[in-house]
Amino acid sequence: MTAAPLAGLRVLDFTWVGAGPIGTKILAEFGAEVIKIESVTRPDPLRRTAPFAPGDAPLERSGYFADRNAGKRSVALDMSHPRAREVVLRLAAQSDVCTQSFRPGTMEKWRLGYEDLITVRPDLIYLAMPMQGESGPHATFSGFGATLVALCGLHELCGYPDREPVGTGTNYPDHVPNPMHAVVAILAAVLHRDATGDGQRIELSQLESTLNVIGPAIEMADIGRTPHRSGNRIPHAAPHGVFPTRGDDRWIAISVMDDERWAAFTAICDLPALRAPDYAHLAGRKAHEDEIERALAAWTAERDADELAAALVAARIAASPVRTADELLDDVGGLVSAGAVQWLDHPVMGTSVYTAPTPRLTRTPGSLAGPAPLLGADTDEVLREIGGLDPDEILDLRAAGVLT
Amino acid sequence: MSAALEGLRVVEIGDDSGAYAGRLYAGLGARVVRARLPDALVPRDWNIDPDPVVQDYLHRGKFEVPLPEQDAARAEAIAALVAESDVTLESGSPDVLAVVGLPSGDPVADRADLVRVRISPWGVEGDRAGDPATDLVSSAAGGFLALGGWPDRAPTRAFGDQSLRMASLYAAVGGLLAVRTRRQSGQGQEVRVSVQESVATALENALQFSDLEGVVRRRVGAGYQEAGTGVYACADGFVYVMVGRLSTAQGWSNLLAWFDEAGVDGAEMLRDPQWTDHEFRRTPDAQAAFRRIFEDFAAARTKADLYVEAQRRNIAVCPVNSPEDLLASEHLAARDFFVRGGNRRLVGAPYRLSATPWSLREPTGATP
Repeated sequence: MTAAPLAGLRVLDFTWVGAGPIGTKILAEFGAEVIKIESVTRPDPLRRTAPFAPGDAPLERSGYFADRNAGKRSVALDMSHPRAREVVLRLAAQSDVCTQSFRPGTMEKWRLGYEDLITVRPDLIYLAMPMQGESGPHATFSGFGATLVALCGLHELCGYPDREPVGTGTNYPDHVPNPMHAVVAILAAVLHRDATGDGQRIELSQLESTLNVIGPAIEMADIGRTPHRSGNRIPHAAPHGVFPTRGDDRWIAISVMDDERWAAFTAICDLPALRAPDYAHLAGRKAHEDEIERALAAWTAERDADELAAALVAARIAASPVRTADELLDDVGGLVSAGAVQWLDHPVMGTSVYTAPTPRLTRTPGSLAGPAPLLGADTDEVLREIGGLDPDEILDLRAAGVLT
Repeated sequence: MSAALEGLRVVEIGDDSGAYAGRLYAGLGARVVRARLPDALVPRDWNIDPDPVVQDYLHRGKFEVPLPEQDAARAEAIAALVAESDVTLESGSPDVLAVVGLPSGDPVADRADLVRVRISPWGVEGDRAGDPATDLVSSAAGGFLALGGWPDRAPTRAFGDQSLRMASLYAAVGGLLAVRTRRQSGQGQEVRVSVQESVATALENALQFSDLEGVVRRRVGAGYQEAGTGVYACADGFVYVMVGRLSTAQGWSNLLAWFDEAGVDGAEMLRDPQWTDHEFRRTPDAQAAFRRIFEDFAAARTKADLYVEAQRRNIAVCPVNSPEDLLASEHLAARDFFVRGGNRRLVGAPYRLSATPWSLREPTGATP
């Protein structure tokens, strides 16, 4: 059997909350050993963030935290203690990658910045992923996932022209663009190290990373073609929208991408109002998009979303009901049977749902090695096996309040 | 300095769902060849934004090879391109190579050391594998669309074909994982990416809310709202303010102190003890009262000024930036983020690697 792509790679992970932990979860799924550093005095804030499983352990019940930290090992280490540094250096010396998402200067304040860590591990790959990078006039400005959506321009571009912007409804950059850019950068650095033996430092500004997934909007603005929010409409197709269907808050997304499919569409919906010759071509439909959408919405509102989507897809028109999370977990959209989510058993939470590894590799598939770790569950084992500390040293550190 | 992916040979064929992965590989130094079908042969289901700025952005840094119109010549051309590549990036259909003329089972595509990255709307297997989809439809099917928009209107998409970008990001990750396996074992493999599954990874905590608490998250407008958290108008647009429950109590008191200094009319009412209660601050009356006060205060201040001064005062206020604001950002300018391309400013690197920096060759086009 072929080894996992990242077998033997050890990651010392100081990232927390949003983007970082999703990235290091992927590394764990594909074979890396990820050691998450946090402490009871300063736990990952997601441990206190809903939703929760029932129970009395306040730091061990968050489904939000659990999903992002599956398959990792946990070391409880109070970074504010002066002796934490010696522990980190022992672990860093045995690690291939170190990741952190603090405000600039935090690791340096502990004398554990890149320059410090390479004294014990010269070929280390070091990823810093602060909000706005490590330099520049706003580098130390504070921010959250929600503020990043506003800062990067995405919030402004989502919604309708007649209202204030609405954003994406989630802290989207945290969930895919920033963690996946981070993983791409780490993997590129790992391949470079495989080839040359050299490590390096990676700086990922979460702002700059996010700007890359809306890059065309920035480059359009630069030539005087600033895009504006337009709901679900796009310039090159119509109708292209989300319409009500039968039931409470049920919707269908429909994209009619060309004139031929418009003809097929009108054959299905058979609304005289949509048979105007003007509408046979995109320009005519764009000119009358309001009327078309109104007529369509009245028609779809009388229909079942799934039946209508099936009829449209049979005519090669892209359509889907707007799926909600409960439907997806009931496998209505086919994601459960496709293996896109998994339920894992956690010692405190019991069974709960996790996102399964994406992408799918046929020879070396990813896997969730286990649920999220209890805070500090692996402290002694990691310090002994990887840090090379003997039991007395561990006892001493614990007595001194370092391992909490 | 060398490039991280120097020597890696990639052929890209397909639609916009794989294009961003090719851009990322090109920026890391791989030789990415985009094989282009003649326009008349491009499958109608492929998602290709015709805007030239979008296409230029997605394909910058790649070489481009036009494929012949004639079937046999095209099959030969694509076979030659795949034969000289380590990685294929195939996107838009369940079997892109078959679509462009290399039949399933052809020894060129079955080469033991070939990494085939296959991106398609619904995955490469299963009943729906060949069904059409767009960014909007994949966003709906993956659960992402349900979370965006105003409660009194239809769910609303994220700008900029984000489902296709997500698929490309997972494809880029999967391809590099497979390249590492190939270098260690000599073995290639397939990397399969479904756009719908990629989208379903962006649901924040919605799956867990449903699973653990039986709560179905739906669109709530511009995020969590209470007096002190939300989007507010100012002199030149909007700012996002976050001094409510998800922030710190200090942020709220710092903002009140700022109101006092500025002599904001009516702000003294916010000192009433009931305003420390987040449940009270969620009531419509409280939200409306706070909005009046804040927007009066902000009406003469720009978003950039509010941002800098709020940061100085430890208050989480942030501009709702437009693309123009970002082009004018003093921060991004100081970091040399934008790259000059003739008389244009182009978007810079998504990350900065010290030993193997990002670089996109210019201009796009020309056979390698």
